[in-house]
Amino acid sequence: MTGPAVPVGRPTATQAPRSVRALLDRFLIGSNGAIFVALVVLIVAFWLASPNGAFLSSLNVRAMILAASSVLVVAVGVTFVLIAGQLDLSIGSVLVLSGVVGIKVMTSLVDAGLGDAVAIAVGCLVVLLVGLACGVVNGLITVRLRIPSFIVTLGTLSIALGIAQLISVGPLSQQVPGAMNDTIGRGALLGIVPWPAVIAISVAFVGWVVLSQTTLGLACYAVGSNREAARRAGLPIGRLMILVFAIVGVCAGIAAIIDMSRFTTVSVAGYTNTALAAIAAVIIGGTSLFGGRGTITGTVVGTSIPVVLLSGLVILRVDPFWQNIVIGTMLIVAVAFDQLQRERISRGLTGGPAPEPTPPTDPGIPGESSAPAGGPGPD
Amino acid sequence: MHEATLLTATGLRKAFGHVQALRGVDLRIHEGEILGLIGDNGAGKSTLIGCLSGVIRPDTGSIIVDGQDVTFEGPHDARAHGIETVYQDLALAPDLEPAINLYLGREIVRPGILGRLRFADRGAMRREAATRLTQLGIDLPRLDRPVSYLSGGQRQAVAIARALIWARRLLLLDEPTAALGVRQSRMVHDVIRRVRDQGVTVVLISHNMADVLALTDRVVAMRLGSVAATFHTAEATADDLVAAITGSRAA
Ligand SMILES: Nc1ncnc2c1ncn2[C@@H]1O[C@H](COP(=O)(O)OP(=O)(O)OP(=O)(O)O)[C@@H](O)[C@H]1O
Ligand SMILES: [Mg+2]
Repeated sequence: MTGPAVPVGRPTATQAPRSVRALLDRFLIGSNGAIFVALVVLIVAFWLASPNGAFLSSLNVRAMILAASSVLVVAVGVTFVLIAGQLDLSIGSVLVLSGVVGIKVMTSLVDAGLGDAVAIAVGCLVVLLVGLACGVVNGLITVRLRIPSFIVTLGTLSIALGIAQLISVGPLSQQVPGAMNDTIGRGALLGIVPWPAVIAISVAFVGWVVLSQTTLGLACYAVGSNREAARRAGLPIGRLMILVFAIVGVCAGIAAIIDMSRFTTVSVAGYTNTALAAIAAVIIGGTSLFGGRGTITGTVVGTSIPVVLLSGLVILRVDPFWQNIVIGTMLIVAVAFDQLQRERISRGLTGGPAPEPTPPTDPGIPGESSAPAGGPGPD
Repeated sequence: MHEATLLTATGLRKAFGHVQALRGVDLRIHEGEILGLIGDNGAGKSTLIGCLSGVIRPDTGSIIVDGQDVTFEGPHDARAHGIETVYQDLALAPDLEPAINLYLGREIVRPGILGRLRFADRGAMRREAATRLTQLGIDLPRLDRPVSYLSGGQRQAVAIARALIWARRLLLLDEPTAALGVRQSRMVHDVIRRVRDQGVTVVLISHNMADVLALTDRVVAMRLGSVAATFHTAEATADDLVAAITGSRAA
């Protein structure tokens, strides 16, 4: 499902590609393709370099998948937001707030004598609703007050964190019921695929379907590509904006559920870097910071790279701080690549031949005095 | 003579901050005519078109279509009345391919239950777009690339095609041939006549007096946000039009 058949951001033909070369060309031109190659090279290199191929041992693969799962969920939401031309810096705080509220709800329900199952179910629902609410608030403020979402979410980043800190000081034990850790946190589907991974893959799949297959996905690309054009096409811009923020909010909630299950609690101070790391991963995966372009497959690759790097470096006993340096560099390269590509296109270097003459319909009598009206020529 | 009125605008005013873009414009568009709209840069032509296409909300004034007072809440409402526009800035999404641009907001969806879930049918849109573009004589090198890969003239062709495909009552063209070559311009002119013959009314903004004289039935000249003069094209000369635009002679 996550092959190169996700042609939305860099729209390509799914219908009969003309040649293998064209296909390759298309694949490598998108930073998507290049980054995928980079990921494969990394994996193979670490595998070969690690003692006994320990890098690809089932234990390590499982550990990497677990480490990637909650980041991936957040990154899927971020992909929607970036494609729609917006930014959300508040995700980490929203994750913390929804988690803290959820744990409060769960512990009070358990204290009230309800069973673990009920407490967990209601608690998870509350987590998702808090995430949703935060997203809707971000969207509403951005749309109604016409403030750049960068600023709005910088504000709500601080507000949500503050509320979470206020809530989390208290006598209650800040832990989810043990059953949540035993099932979602440490269990696995059919005893093989860890539940966090199942959740993350499902979220990514749904995100892929919505973005690449539905008219809603097209609308996200259109809004991010040219907001005014989308408005004139009759798209409900305001509602779309609120929706993408709602999506990323719910994603933050889902990520909170994953982390709460795995670690039995949510560390209030542990997510200050989440939003920026997710944005970096998504951009490394080929989504444009300027909106209009991007894919969920790219995001899957972009989120995998930091995880693979960290794990590989640890196994090879290289100082893991190198991961930060490499990721930072890749981020800059990815954006530079995107920028370069835009410039090349706008200068027409990668474009097709110049204005193709339409088939002649009349004898070539030069037009009367009809010089093209003094408008700007093709840029 | 065309007598039935398709659209009447009365007392349209629009200010952008301190700039009075429209200072009380009255305009009548006759059913089935090609109406030229001329005026210097900044005269308010595009603003007027924006009001008629629902993109700009006039500060005051009314728009009556088919004898019914309409208030366009947005482009959607104007489209619902069969009004389509080629904007001066084209208003295309550069990251999306031409086919998607043609159908944006009115996508073809997959058949069956997927369609009810709003799954887009890209293939159908591509095929349909290819057919329509060919019918209009528009030849793009590749249909599977984003609009950003197209030349200025090709983009203009896509914008024109979109309006032509959907227009049922009124086609608003804001300098539609500004970026086109001679032959492409002539094709567009042919298409404009053809569309009119099929019963669609056309408003054409142009700075090219020869085009305006050749194509239109009537001409409205705007100056400084007001209608300066109205002509029957058959009775007007290029000098008359230029005089009305520049205000060197009261018409
Ligand atoms: N969105 C806007 N914000 C501020 N001022 C605007 C805006 N749109 C138009 N104006 C101003 O309104 C006036 C009329 O502009 P308009 O675009 O209608 O002119 P025009 O007749 O279409 O000119 P041109 O021939 O150059 O296209 C101009 O002075 C312009 O600066
Ligand atoms: Mg104009």
